[in-house]
Amino acid sequence: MRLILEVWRQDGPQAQGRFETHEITDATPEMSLLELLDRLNHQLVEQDQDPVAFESDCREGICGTCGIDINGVPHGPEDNVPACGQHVRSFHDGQTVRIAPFRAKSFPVIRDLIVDRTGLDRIIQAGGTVAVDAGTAPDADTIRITHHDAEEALDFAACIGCGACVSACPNGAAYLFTGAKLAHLRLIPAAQQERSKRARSMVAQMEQEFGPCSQIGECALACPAKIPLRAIAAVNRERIRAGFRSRSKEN
Amino acid sequence: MAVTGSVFVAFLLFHMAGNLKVYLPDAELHFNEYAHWLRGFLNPLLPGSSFLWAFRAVIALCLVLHVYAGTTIFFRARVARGGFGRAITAKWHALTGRTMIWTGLIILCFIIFHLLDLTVGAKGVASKSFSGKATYTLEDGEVVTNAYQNLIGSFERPAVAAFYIITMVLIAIHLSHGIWSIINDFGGTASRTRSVFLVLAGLIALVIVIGNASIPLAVLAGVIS
Amino acid sequence: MSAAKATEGKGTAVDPLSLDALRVIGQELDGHLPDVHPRDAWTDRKLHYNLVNPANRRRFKIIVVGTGLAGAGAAAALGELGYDVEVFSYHDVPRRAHSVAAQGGINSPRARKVDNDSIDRFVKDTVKGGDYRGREQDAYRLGEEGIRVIDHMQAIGAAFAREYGGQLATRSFGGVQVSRTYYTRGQTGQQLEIAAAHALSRQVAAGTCKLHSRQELLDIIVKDGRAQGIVVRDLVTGKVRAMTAHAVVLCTGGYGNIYYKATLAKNSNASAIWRAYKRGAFFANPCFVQIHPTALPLMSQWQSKKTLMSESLRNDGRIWAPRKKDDDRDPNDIPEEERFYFLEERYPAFGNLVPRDVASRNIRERIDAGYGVGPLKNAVYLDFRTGIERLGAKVIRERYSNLFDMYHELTGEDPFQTPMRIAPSVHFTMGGLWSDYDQMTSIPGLFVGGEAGWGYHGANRLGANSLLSGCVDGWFTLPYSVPNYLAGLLGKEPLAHDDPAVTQTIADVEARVERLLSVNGSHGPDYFHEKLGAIMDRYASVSRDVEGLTKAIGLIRELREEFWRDVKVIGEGDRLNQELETAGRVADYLELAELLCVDALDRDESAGAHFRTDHEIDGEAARDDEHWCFCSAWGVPAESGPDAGKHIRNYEPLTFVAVPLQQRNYK
Repeated sequence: MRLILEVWRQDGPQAQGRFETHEITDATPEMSLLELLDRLNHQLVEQDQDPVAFESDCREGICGTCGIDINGVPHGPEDNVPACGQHVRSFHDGQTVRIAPFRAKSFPVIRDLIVDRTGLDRIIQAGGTVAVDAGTAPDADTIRITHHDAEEALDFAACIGCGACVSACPNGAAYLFTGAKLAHLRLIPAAQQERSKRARSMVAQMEQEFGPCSQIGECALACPAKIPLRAIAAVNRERIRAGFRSRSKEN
Repeated sequence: MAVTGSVFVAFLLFHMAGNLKVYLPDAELHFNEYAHWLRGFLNPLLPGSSFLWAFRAVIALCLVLHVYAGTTIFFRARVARGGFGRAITAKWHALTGRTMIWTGLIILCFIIFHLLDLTVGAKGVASKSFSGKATYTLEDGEVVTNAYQNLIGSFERPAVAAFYIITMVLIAIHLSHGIWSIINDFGGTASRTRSVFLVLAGLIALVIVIGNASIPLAVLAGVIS
Repeated sequence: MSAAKATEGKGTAVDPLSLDALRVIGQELDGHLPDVHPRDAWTDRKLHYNLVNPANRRRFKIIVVGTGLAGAGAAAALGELGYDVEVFSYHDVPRRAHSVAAQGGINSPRARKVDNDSIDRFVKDTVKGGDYRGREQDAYRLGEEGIRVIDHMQAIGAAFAREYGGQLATRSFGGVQVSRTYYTRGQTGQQLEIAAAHALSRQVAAGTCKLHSRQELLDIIVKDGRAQGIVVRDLVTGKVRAMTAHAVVLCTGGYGNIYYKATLAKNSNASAIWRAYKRGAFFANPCFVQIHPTALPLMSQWQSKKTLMSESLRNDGRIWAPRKKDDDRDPNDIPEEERFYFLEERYPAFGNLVPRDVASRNIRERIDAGYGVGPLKNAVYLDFRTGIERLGAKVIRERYSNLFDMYHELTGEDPFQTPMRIAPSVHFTMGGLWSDYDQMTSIPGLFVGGEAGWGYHGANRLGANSLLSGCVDGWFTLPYSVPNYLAGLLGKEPLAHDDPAVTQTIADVEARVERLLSVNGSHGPDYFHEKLGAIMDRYASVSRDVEGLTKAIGLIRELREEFWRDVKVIGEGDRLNQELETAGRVADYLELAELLCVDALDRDESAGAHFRTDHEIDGEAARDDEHWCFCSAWGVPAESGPDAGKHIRNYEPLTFVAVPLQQRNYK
């Protein structure tokens, strides 16, 4: 297959970016989009040109390292699939494919297709954690969690932290990410002690760096971990709940 | 957003219920009676039309807050997006969600026009019948403003009717997303509640557009006059 | 020592690739094991550890490299105790570490059911599974601390699967007859890793841990015989800098990517442990590499890696290859009598459920013999037809839907219609930096945790034991043993940044970076990596022999020489440069690969994953406990003297008290 790739090139956070056009003549349908970039880079190195910087790691859809916009859609044309699981077979011979980094003000470009997503990590640092020190946990078998709650917690805990929800959102919001964490920890008994405090601080941190939510729903379609859209409602639920509780109460 | 929006949804439903009196037999009487009742609601507990004014104040406050919140979200979103466009995807809530600010602004213009036309009766905006201070005598002999004639007069102008109809469609679009958003804003995470709201959002939007847009159509078609 | 005697007088030193020219026997190592029954070892050791007063803890600086289960756990736990922890990762955020990709589960002998599980049984399974090449004492610690690992990970957010009654659910796993594997769907590693990474985030927010992301470790600072710091390269700015501390903990994962295309993440690499080795830390059992039988094979030239398909598939899938060579027919058109269900025929008792190494070896034998299938003739079939006929598609879908979906997503083929194609792939390395019972390497002050180390798994790791070893090392071993070492350093400041040891190490790293950049050859680093992978796959994979290994060492040396003559690294060193990162890692692989082959050549027996064709009984690995019941711990060759350039094989004898030595048999 022949594909025309328009790839975003940017030397650094302050530098001016631009699209650069390259042609791949021997793409194959079973190639993943990351392998397509591997192919391109191989070609560039052969021609003594600077290869395109992009991030990936596990290439099995679980680490959340990869993240590129394909024709303006995070990860690629298929819904709920990470870039490493998106394949060239989605395109037709001769098609032009535009590859850009994840787009949001909170995701500054580091180089080419690599962006800085540590903003999401700062939301976690603000409160997406459980204050239990090593060795102090109670026996996990004595704490009963219903099968339903455990499965529900897992639905939200499946988030791989890739940031596609932010790039997908026309508002640059991180509600799906934040909501997934809040909804997950809400169901973990040991995490109840700081439930309100967590909601307040995570939401505050989120609002500081990311956009507002207007329930557009693009995030859930882009999410490779299939986090349900109701995660965004969990942000409001936890925030409202915390709002009704005295600030001196942390749970 | 959700609180003020909910107030508007309720208001719209009541407003429509009142409007639909135009389809009753002896419509002019019922409609004008209703308009009069509205002005004197909770009389004599509250003097004169003080309830109406209090009600108007609440609605106005909601409007201000709603518009303020909406524009704030719009501008915050633009900043957060960082100046990068986002491809338009042909999905209903993506389309309706992203156009809330625009449908909202047109609706705002409509509200201003609507008030000038049928509440204030401003010159150049309202129909000739309003300008002519049409009155109506109720069964108990009281002479009141002929709201019914004002309505008919206004809708007999095709351009106004068209504007009204288009706005109703936009309101329906605005509502279908807005009502769905209420469940999100109020933190409804339960799947069943959310499904109910999704259906409700579509249903209310549909009822509002059919109920309200049918009136100018009926006027133009001469079904009511 | 018998081990030393065993290899004396073998061969002559004429051939430069003969064993005697390649290696020299070094010293016997002391694992500092408590002198009590292995069952009581950990309790006894903890009782004798020195402690650090809570008020003094913040005066001790500890560097932790890597944020996987072991690294994040160790950093968080040490931070919680009050130490001043500096955490380094080459990832953008801690949660990306490759622990995240583990699927199946985590073992813990909590023995809550009446299936007769116990810590002793866990140790027996682990030691036997590892073919008696790991320490019993380590396995006991793993079992003992593994119990509260589940409590802790659950409390900090890992949502373990639950039974309908609300209790923790367990499932059984390969090589074990009890149900002790705790899991969260097929993403146990992810849940544990995120919980651990977030626990680390809590300490970062609290200020006890400082996180340095996108920093790659390139050297260890050793002075006065102690590890006193590290040198890292900032992957964004290219700046090389040092950080000094009282102790350094390496939790940097395994070296499986030496095989080029493995199931490991693209960035997993051996540089940290290899740099430590070069500075004097011994490297234990490099030849113990686990090859998983059921991975997706390479299907095209550009496929970047292999993907693991869970072992559980072999419960209902039947492995076969065509009886005819180069059979290009559609698998569904091949009649039953022309299918060779080789595992079922060769191992009637265990059939498709033979252990990983046996399955891998047999699959590989079929492929090498020319019976491989698929476009590259490099796979065999894993067929669910019988299972679907017997149980119905619905049951099969319930059991394996996520795996079938994953296969479908990656290959575009539906396993309900067409048999899966699978092939063995490198997956885990049991070898790693040698450490004593306290997880301290042969460089005092340099500790190791997780897959970067050795120990628990011997010559073969049991499924679901790797997540456990990462967690136990991180949360419940290093936080005890590191302070014991620190207690002796009270009052000492970390090395000054202008100390000659620091500036010299920085200069060494910079010179190496410069050297890589200045070769200006004709091929990118991937070219050499691919060639190395081909050599390793061919000669140092599921089965090994003297001739092949000797040949491999020669080829690796040639390739290494070619690399340093002909590598091309595009771009500069003072910016984000992924080619440079790869080049540095490949350069290390090229050295480690030789050691791996030398170790395989040296270990004149078969054990677990290390299968030597000259040591087998009916196709089974034949251990030689009389001569090889020890851990090889390799040291850097001397630069001069009679043994210059020879790899130094030190050894730690292994004794078995609780689980007496016996041969495996799966027929």
